[in-house]
Amino acid sequence: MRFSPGLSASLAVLLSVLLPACEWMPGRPRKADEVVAPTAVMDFSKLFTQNCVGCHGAGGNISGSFALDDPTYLAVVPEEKLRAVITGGVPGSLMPPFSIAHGGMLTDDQITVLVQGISAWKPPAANSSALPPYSAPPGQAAAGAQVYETYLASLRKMAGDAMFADGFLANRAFLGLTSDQYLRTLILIGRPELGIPNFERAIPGQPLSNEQIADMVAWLISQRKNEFGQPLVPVPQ
Amino acid sequence: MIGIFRNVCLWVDDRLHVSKLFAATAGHHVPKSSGSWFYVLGSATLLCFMIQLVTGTLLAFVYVPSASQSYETLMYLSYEQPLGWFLRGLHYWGSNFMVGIMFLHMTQVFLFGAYKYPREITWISGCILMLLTLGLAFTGQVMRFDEDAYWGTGIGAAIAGRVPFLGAQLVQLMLGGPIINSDTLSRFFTLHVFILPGSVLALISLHLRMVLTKGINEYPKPGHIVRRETYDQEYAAIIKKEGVPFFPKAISKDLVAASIVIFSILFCAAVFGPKMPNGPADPTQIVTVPRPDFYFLWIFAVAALLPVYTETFLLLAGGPVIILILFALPFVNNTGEKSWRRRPVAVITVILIYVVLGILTYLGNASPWSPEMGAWTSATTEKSRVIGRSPLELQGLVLLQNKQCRNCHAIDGVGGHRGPDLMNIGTRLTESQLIRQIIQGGGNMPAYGNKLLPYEVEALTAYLVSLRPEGQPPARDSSVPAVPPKEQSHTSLPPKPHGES
Repeated sequence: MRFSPGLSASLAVLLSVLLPACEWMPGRPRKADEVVAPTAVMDFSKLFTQNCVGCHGAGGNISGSFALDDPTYLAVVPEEKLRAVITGGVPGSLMPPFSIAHGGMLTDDQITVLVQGISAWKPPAANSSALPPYSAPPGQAAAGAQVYETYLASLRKMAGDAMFADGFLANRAFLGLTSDQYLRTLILIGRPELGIPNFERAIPGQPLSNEQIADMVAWLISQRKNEFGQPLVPVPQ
Repeated sequence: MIGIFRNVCLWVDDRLHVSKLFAATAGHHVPKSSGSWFYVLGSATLLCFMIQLVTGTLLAFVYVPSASQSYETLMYLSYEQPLGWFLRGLHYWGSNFMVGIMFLHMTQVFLFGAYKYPREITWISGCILMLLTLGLAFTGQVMRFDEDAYWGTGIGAAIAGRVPFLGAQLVQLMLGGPIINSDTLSRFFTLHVFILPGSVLALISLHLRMVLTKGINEYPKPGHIVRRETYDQEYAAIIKKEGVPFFPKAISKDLVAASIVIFSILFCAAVFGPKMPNGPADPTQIVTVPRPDFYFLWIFAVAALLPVYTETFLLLAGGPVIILILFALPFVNNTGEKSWRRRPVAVITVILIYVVLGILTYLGNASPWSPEMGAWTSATTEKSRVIGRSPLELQGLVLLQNKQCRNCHAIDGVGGHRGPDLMNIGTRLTESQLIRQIIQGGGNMPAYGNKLLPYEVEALTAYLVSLRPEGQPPARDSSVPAVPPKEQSHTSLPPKPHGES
């Protein structure tokens, strides 16, 4: 079979027009890549990557604050609390509000996507009823001092001295920057990715009870100093 | 039947003089030496313009130049209309190729001395065509009416607004009102679709007319000097001695080049696709990174890098001065050597212009001076910059995010690049220097003294001091005697916890 130059040229032109119609042409824009207004982004992965991962790790990332895919955290945190924290932030701490109504950049629907997405990481076998509650009032500061000393000694053995050089949780600046709930959450869930176990394993063979955690938090709160004349959180009387 | 057809053709030719017109244009004689690959760039630019006319006309069937519908029609073209995305791709890449090949053509004309006697008007009409082409490119990117277009138009209006005495009127004329709205888009559409292409067509006819009347520049030979008194006779002698008809002799390379250009545009449109809009134009949306198309990136960079006190003068005077130099070139440098081999200043000028434009385009694309507005919540941190830190230092890391330091400062390259990367800041600045820098600012950094609480400065500094290579001590005050090695163990990077290598 012979192709005349005219026929070859016609075929080439035809192919060059028809080929792009195929779905697989790499230049064809994909709807998924469309740039939409930030308030129209409803993909959990994109929302989490754009809004959370800087401070909270997850999926292999770690950062300054605890990982939001931590199984202990997911087991204890109520979904409505998670929503409230994302929406309005935590006054007196470094957690900012993300809701547009509170000065943030996310719509209520986007916050729902985030809450549902984070909650979906919860391990299916997690039984929150067997765990200390997410929130509880501070306990007895005097009793907490003793527990904290034991807790600290145990952690030192596990994680080395490095992260304890400046007083660990009792550092006055750290206490000035964190809320009571953050202290409790940290003791509850630890920072396993940094070598700090959760309340169950912090002291080998002696899981911390709810009272012990509350007492420790009370003692840590008592260590807050109203320095510089600029208290960040109300100092308990 | 054939006889009737032949008679009709002869009648049409007799009335319209088609064969004479063809002989006078496509059949005109050109120097044989101009049948070079260097001489295909002009026809390739013209071909790109023809492609733009065809694809642009087809796009105009669907595109609605209205602030409320333009974006939707682009989305329709890109996702719904069969081959609409390909048509947009052809138009987009056609414009890229047109601008690129046009500058190559100008470079070739400059280096081959083709602007010299007697082709001054050919050069000037080419310069005006260049300005019109850039005008088409600018108004074309406004047609997307996305964030890039919105802010690009805003910058254009801001520059126009700085014109003394007439600034406000010029902005009004440009935008069709005090703000960017549907009237603005209508004006740019009219410019893009009617006024500028019409002007280009008129200028092309003049440009080609000059090519026909004054002839195509012969391939310059080193040592061959152009003199006003003798050049016309010399050129006539060249045509008489070795002239060949443009069609079908000299056109062969142009046809090959045209095929390559068409295939390249088809290839780029199919493989890279059209430039998609960067989100709908929304002045309330500040988390955006508007960029002009690549041919204006160098202006974007210049505008960003100019010292404030020179901005108005250089932005307003720079353009006219460049145009004046281009227009004056054939009169200032009217005769003499044509070959680039004997014109080192011309070669150095071209190299300098391309290097400067290349660097500015790179900078305009990277634009390290722009903060990354979303980095504070999205920039991740290497594990080695987190592990082993105390709770206070970790709060410092959270503060680095929370106070949006990452928008300007990267860590290990992640984050903004307006300020220095903080990856090893602990080895460069002492704790005291860090506190001073944070509180008082300095250089390009604002002061944060009244925006941060003392606890926050303490936590931030603690984390920043910890940012240094493993085993390397923190920066120390050189006015204080060095601490003996045994006593400085607490100042070195903390060892990693168990389980970390």
